Amino acid sequence: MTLTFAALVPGLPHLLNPLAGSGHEALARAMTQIGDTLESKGVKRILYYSTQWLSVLGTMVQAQPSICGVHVDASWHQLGEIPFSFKVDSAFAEQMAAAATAAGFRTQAINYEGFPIDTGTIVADRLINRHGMATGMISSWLYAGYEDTVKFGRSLADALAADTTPTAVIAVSSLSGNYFPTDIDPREDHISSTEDDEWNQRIIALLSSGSFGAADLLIPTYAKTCRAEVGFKALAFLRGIGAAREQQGAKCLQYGAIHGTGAAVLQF
Amino acid sequence: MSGTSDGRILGGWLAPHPPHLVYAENPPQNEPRSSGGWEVLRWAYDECRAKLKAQRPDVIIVHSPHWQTTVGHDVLAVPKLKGLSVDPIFPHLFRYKFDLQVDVSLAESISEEARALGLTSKPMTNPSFRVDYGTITSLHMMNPDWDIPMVGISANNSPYFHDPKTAQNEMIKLGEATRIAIQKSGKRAVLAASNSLSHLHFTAEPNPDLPEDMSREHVFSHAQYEWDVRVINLLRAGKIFELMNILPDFMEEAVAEVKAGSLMWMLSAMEFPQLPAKLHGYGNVIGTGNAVMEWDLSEMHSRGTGSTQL
Repeated sequence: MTLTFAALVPGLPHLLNPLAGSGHEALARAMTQIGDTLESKGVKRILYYSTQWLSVLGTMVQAQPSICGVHVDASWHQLGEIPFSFKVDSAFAEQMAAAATAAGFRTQAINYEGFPIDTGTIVADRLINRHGMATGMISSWLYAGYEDTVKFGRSLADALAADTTPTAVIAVSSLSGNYFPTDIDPREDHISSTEDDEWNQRIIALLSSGSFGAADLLIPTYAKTCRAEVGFKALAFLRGIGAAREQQGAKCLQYGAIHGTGAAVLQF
Repeated sequence: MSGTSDGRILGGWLAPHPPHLVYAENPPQNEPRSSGGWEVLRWAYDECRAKLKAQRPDVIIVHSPHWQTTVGHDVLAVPKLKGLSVDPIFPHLFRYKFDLQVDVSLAESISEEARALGLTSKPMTNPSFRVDYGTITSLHMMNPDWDIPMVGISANNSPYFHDPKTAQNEMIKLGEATRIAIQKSGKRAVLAASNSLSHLHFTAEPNPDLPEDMSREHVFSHAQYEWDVRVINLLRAGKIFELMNILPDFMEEAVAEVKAGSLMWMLSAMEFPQLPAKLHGYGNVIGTGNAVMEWDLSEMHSRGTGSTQL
């Protein structure tokens, strides 16, 4: 079994150049801590599952061996250019696509120059993968529900188990998704409603206590009430791939807000 | 129209953006090659191209559902934007080298007028910005020579965030802001609402080995077809108010892409013209419903038909 480490992290670009002493800086620091920890555990490859990379015709797995460029977020373009550079384990990408396909999930390994890498994956990689280890990227299939995403993750667990490279799985997702609809002073950022804040903390408490089954049951209501990002399928993926196991609680390194949405750095 | 200068809107186009249309045409900018397909929609765009050649507008302004912004209605405001746009959904069909000339002064003015009307808006000034495939596809299909400056407006998340009425009101204001900016600019503008009609689609390509296999292309469902025809008939009859009344149901039941606000923005900018729109073509792309339709405002003025402020 090569799944060595896992985490859930936010992926908005506010974290890359945060104001000193801000909540954004605290979240960014927690993500660099995740990077330090996974390196100390001997991780040699990071797999990203970002709910900002949405696919429609089944799931996509990135298979271009080397990707670099400059990214500007479509929504947060005023935050500037984000240089990125990825080494992708393309052989393992093919293995993942084959494993998922064999399990009945339409999955394609893609290799196109200029294919847009999503902001979430880039932000996470910039903060976590500071020494350029190999990566993998998996899209979030728009039409897979929570249970299907658990099953999809499970199909990749077999590919991971059959591979010897120590691997970290990083799910990139917000918690509550209610943004402030106008510009705000980042120093005054906070969760956009008390209800969202309470829900986020309730979910974090369940994950921290290892009560994942209980969390699974609450996710539909949580997602509907708080617009949790893409139905909070990031947790489903972590459940399926074997990163979030019952009674093995996650450790919350940081919780905060990014433009009103919920953000947590959770180590599994 | 009232205004402080002689700028005006020549007309508006419902200009859907399935990347398949560019793929089918095999332009030099797009890397993938095809044997054609979706001709009815492409022939419809031929008529748009001819019209624009005759009109010679100063600018084309496009509102695209695929430039999604969380905060505000943003506007492309870099003089030249160049790069490679790869469709994240259909990368095997659309890998397009774009080279856009932006009318920055008009873009900034639209953003300013939007703010003056209480909307959140900012100019997008980053030269490394990758333009979305919706904007590029609509503009390519309308004007493949790319010899007319453009302005691109983002689709704010408001239709998915607020109730339909609030979101609709935002798009009406954005249309007003666009009209005022055009009037003040003294320019002759053509508008493009870059959206499909019904938007339920197949979750797999019917023939992955031949995406342009027209024997496998059809509307997603008869219910969608009926919705599309109902909307098109209202537009062809110039019954804008009846359209407004059914739009919420259309968005809900046909997952219509008009929800992103492009059509409402354009109709508002044109002051909701009581003018029969001309249907140039209707077709399906991976199950979605798409119509290329035109509002020629010069025809409206010559016929003496009116427009209305909502």
